[in-house]
Amino acid sequence: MRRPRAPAGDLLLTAALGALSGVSLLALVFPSMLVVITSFNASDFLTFPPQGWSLRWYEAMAGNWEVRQAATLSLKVAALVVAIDLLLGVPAAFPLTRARFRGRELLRTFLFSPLMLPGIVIGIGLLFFFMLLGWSLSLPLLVISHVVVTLPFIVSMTSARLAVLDPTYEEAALSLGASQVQKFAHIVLPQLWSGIAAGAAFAFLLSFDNFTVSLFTASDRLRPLPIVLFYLLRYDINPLVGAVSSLEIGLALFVLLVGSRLLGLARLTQLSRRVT
Amino acid sequence: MRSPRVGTWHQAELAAPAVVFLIIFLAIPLLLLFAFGLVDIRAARVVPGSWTLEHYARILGDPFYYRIFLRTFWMGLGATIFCLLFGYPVAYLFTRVGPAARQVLLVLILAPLLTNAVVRTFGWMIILGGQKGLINALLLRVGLIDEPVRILYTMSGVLIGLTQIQLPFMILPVIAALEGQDRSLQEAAAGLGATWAQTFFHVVVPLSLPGVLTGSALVFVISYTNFAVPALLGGGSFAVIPTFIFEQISALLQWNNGAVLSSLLLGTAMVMLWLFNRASARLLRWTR
Repeated sequence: MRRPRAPAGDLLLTAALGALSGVSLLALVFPSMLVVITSFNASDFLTFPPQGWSLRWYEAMAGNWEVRQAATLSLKVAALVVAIDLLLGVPAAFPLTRARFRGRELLRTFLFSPLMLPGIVIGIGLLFFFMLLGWSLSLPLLVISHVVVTLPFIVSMTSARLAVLDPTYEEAALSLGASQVQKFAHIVLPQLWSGIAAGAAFAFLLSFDNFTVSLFTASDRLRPLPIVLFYLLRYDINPLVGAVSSLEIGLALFVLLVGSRLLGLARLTQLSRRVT
Repeated sequence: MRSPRVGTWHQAELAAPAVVFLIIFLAIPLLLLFAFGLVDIRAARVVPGSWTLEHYARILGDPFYYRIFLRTFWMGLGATIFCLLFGYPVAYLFTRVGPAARQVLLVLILAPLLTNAVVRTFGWMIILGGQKGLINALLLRVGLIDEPVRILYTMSGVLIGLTQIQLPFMILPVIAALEGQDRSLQEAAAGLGATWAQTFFHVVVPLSLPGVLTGSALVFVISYTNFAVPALLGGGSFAVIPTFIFEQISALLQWNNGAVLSSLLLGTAMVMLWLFNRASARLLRWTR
């Protein structure tokens, strides 16, 4: 029963859906594009379109002691966080994917619970905990707080790879006389590598980007980059932020590229389970 | 069937380090958060044996806090409604295009998810900002307005920022729900003479409601507990619970207030999450 012409209702709906999705796709990318464009602005204020082009804000960023310190700290923290995440998270993926035991669903819920909890509550809880123990805020405590919120990503991405591994190869290796260690090093790890690497890349980015937890677990003397950015924006807009932000956007796109190469874009949609 | 030797790498004990870590640094701190609302804390020290309900009574009895909670609730609900309005069409678009366009859409949807919250908010500050902001500069030049309109540092600005930041959390679950639909139902509706609009509203949308609820739950909870967006786009005097808690804890060292308000924030967020989940489970039973 084909109609010669689409009814008015259909046209209206097409127009409405088209307009709304157009607006939201624009809204998704436009602010970040704008940040990058204005970072090359030559004037003292953030005017759009820029009055002239220059790299002065990138020079200002490179010359800013506070920003340099913060960037170094954030890189250091993120590297340590990934190392600890791997040690804790990769082994946890095995029982979660393969073993059958009572309470496995409970274990899964518990390991993924940091994703469902607001970052502000995790940050405050940790601050209270550290203060109660009489530990003053320091680099190790900042690292611990980031491990709490990034650990689920290593576990979930490693499990995602592990779930599609064929155990036949491992059984073959064992029946040919390989030890458990040899089996792990030569059969499991090479196949698991892409999941672990993707998890590590995202954990690194999420630690580097973390704002809400750091707000409470970073001391005034140890401010990671997002916190410094926040204070540069809190009462006035400092154009220096544009240059730093552009670099952060570049890093995010790089990690997205790496992740999509390793796991495929479709699987990355599980990132949406992140709640901070 | 697995041989027992393969199993030795898959024992539950392998998860022990991660579990112990999260018990110490997640479960205990959260319990502590609740406990700190029930004792007196002076100068960052717990007064021993000072169990009291006084802090809860003080905050629950004060209409001032009630108003801030209400504003936070509206902020979360507003962002959820806008995300649904603008996110659903994108999810629908995704299910109707070819593989190449899907890849492009996925990048557009995922990229903001990975960009720092402060950075994305900064983009909106450039757009919404005072006289020199993009929107005002454009409107003034076109002559549509004579005076700059105030969007930055208002609830509208906060809602715009929240909506953009949470859009992916709505789009992705809705895509999953739309993809899971049996296409033959749409064909059947069309075969029975329904227009496309009728099919959309009577078949496609009702069947995707579980995904809509999942997305709404995520968007609501993240917006309701968000700090960066209201702190930056709302300005210094815009008080919602997360920004108020931050001020209480960091600037005023009112830890009792901070603990009670955080517990209430988490508690109300979890109740909302539970309500969304229950509604979603009901719908799932109904759609099958």
